Amino acid sequence: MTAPILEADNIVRHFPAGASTVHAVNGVSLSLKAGEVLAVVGESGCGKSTLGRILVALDRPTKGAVRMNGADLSALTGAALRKSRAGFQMIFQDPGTSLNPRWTVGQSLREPLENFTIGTRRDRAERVRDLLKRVGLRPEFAERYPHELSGGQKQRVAIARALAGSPRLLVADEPVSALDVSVRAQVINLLSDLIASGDLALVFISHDIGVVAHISTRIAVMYLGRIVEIGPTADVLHAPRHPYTRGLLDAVPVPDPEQRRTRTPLTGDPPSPIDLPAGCAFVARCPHAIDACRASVPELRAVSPARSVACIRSEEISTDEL
Amino acid sequence: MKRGYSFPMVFGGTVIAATLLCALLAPMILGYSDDIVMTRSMRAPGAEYWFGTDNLGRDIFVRTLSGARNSVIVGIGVAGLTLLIGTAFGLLAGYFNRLDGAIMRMMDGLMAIPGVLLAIALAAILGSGLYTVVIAIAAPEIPRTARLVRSVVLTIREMPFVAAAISVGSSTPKILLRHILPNAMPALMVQATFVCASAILTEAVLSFLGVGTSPDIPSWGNVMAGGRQFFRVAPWVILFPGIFLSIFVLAINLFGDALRERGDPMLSGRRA
Repeated sequence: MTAPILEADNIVRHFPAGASTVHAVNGVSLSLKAGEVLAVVGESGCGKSTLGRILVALDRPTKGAVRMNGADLSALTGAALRKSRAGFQMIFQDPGTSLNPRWTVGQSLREPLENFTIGTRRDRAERVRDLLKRVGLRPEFAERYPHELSGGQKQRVAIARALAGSPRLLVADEPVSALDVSVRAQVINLLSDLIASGDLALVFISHDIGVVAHISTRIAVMYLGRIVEIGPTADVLHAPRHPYTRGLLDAVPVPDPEQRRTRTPLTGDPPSPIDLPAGCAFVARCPHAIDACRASVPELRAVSPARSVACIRSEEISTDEL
Repeated sequence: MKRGYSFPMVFGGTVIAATLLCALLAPMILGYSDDIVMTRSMRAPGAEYWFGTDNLGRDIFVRTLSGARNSVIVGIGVAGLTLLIGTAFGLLAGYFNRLDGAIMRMMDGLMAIPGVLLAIALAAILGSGLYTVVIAIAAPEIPRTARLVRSVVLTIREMPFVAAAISVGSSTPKILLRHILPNAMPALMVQATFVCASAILTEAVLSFLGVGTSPDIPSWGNVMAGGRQFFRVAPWVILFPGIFLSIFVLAINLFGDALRERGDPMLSGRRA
């Protein structure tokens, strides 16, 4: 087995909000190897974007450590951190705002090359063309401004920029949510091609469990700053072990009316991240909640070698009963 | 915009160029101030004195053309000084949370001093003159510009392209100067034209109070200030410098707008 590219160890991130504290991420651990695609799913406000920003050192965890190829990111500052950023890149949700509107595509793509001192001044134009080619864009795009591009093209440019420093880890935060349905597949296919062709790992953050089915090798389901279930994609999708995962799957629209589900969808909202509940955060929305659920926060426990679930009743309730 | 030059750009550019030329050449050719000749005082505009004369018999045509120099110096000087210092403070306050409080409280303090009072105090310390006027008008404008820049920076720094720039290893100075500042430029352009125009007007007020520039050396402001008392009998003393002032301010505003549109790739039709 190869060593993991990314290891996150008990990441906690709290934001001060006046006198109170927002508990955005409450102890998330994960690790990722080359070629793996970890999907992080959960509804708005569950802390998945904050987690993503921490993984690429755009934010610092309140507690916990992120290790990239074994090196602790929190130990890096200043120029050393800037240089190390070549190894881990982020792809943002809205490609319309993730490119500087006053820069041409070429300028945006040269920025990482200059910062990471890749290539000589002269062959950077060539490298920009190569990057564009890798994401399926013609070289002429280097001269264009972002507003002259479609959403899908902009997202390709953003992906090209992320690839410029030859990263080992990509974190894509809802990379297709802002795109038309017709171009989503192109961008997702581009990302999976990149994973297939290099020793790259991808963290794919999404609120839509349906989108990640195609690309991910593993799925982590987050709820109120914690991972409630993590496991191989097929297992999580076809045999969820946490009632929240079940709820997310039931929320995916089914195209065939004959197959329409009769199950009741999830209702209510997650509790406030300011006052965390004492017990399981999902208890108020859970159809299987018992008194013991309110007593303490369930730990993420392994139910099989590759899968872990944070539910005290995971042994007694089977997937079919969920 | 690439297709050619729009009307506001041509008009604004021409007027500004003509005014600058006037500011440069008129005092050399015509002299700063026409002689005081009491026998020809308060002549109406006509063939001999195109713009008429004032109460001391000075030719308003000469004084208006030559007055362009001081007005332009004040306008551009104040706009430049304000923008330079205000933008620097605004950028730092907007981007660095730690500096924000200190800088903005300092700006509030500066803002609390009435501009005219500051001008009088400065005139007493530095002696009245053109540079005193520039500093006195610029000082109260700096906080306003700093606030504007700060608010624009607060918005821009949250944009994903700034996070992306951090992510691709850009240093903080590079992010401030190459990502944030260019995107704040449209707002700055408008502010610059506004400051420039209002500075020329404020100079008139200061001249009127006697802490501006000396009437020996005309500016549009002090010529108008001098003519105020005789407005009912000799309106041309105010009228002609007033027209020059209005057209110049209009030209600056039009030119500023045209520049902003040209510099903004999202507003221009094609590549800027």
